Amino acid sequence: MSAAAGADALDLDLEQVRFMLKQQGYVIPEEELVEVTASLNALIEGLSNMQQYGPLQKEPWPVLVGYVGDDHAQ
Amino acid sequence: MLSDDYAFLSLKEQGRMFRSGELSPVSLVELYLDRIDRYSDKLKAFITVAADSALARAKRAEEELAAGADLGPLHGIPVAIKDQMLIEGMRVTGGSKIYADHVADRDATVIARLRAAGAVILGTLNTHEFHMGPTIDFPYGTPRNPWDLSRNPGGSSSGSGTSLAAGLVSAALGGDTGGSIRGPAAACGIVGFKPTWSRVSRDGVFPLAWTLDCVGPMARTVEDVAAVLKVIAGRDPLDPTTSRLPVPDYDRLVQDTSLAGLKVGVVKEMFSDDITSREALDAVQVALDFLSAKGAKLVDVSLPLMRETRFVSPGLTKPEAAAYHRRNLLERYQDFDYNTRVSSMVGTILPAGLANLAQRARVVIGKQVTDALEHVDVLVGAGSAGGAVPITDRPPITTKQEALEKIYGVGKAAGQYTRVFSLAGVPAMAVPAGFTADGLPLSLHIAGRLFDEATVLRVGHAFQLETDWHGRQPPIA
Repeated sequence: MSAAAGADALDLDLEQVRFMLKQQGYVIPEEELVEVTASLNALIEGLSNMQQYGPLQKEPWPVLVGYVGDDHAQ
Repeated sequence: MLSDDYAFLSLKEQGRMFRSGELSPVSLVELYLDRIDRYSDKLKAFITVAADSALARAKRAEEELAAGADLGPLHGIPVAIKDQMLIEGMRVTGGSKIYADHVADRDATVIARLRAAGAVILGTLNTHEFHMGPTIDFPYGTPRNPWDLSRNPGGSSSGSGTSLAAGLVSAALGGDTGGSIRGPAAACGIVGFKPTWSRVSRDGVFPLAWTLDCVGPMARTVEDVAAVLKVIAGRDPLDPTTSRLPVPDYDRLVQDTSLAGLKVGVVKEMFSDDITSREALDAVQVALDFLSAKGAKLVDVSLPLMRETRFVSPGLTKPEAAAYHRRNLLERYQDFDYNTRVSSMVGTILPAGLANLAQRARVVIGKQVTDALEHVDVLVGAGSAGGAVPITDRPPITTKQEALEKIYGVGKAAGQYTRVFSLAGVPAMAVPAGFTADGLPLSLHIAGRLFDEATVLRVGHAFQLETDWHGRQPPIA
């Protein structure tokens, strides 16, 4: 799967976004639903691309007191 | 009526004149009120003008100063406040129709501190709705850039930048979450300072994103900003996030303009000509040459994740803002501006896993900044991509590609240069650094170590002592 196709595979469609908003109590005009869907998908794509960064896979803070493991603070 | 030239003096100079008798607080307030009235239709800098209470306070300030009860540099000085902070007895709207009739029943802590220092509160300043932006339909008028009325004054502290550049007030408070003080400062050719997160109380301040918001001073000079910061900074029991660290005497420390031995990190990503105009780069180079001539050592620095802030910042701010405004969004959706509505809906349903990823990214990105600052004293770069951008209508976005182009396009605006320092929580300042060929301000951005506001101020003040960009008046004046 190409990177572009992979990115588009994450896209939500209008009905999915409509449902998610309704679940939160919002029913919004169709014109805005289109822009919300487009903007949301853009943000999802951009943030999803962040997962490639290795440092993000490490725990920023040592949450397991006394844990000694790979690259984790003691 | 006083000459208009008095309106553009620094608050330090105005204060000196109060004490010498050359100028009085009442005459200065009258001058500003006259100018606000003259230019309000063009600039839309103010939302509420508190003429009666300002004149009354100015009169008392005159009496107090005459009696020797001197409260310091801000005594009798007219200050205006971004319409984001509670001012007792005054309408505070957040730049929205939602709070059009909201009158505050108390002062925010920063306002109380200004009052205790003798400042005269002139009114509230225009802002993008709930300090997000970009607002499409400003309920209180579209703020404009005094250097070119067809241009954007930056946001969200738009009125703060506009009013200072146009000589409508001596100093202002702004709010900064990703650049909302520094952006307008850059666009309007004034000084805007975002302190370390937790340095200044946010009690009584409308939030945008609680984990990032800062309140900070804006003025025409760095010295003035230092004077205001000294008054408003410090621990506040009403805001438990405020730091217990003592507040340095910024007013005194800013006077140390020796830069010999200072290590200045030049941020490669802020110096890139794929997003920064040649004019902006040249202006920053002049500033770097100045710093170098004063004995500072320039060091190349890279912040590799800087450009990812265009996704990380909204990944943080949109959910926070949506949560804060939820009740009003459910009850009065149509009373919000279109862009606020769209942004809030995105924030409402952004998948939690990605919002959490943004939190993790914030820590990593912030650490890149603080790690860099372990080896240099300040980080500098362009304060914006170039001169202020035109005010344009924005057609609705209908595809993901259009939305991505908008995000990458915003990345070319001021936010590109400011967000990374917001994520790190460090102090940062925009200082006038020149003008484009079209007469639009250019800006230098200076960031420092956590709680080292003093070094950022010193560098900016040293730069201003050798330049006169901050002394120019826009043609509207």
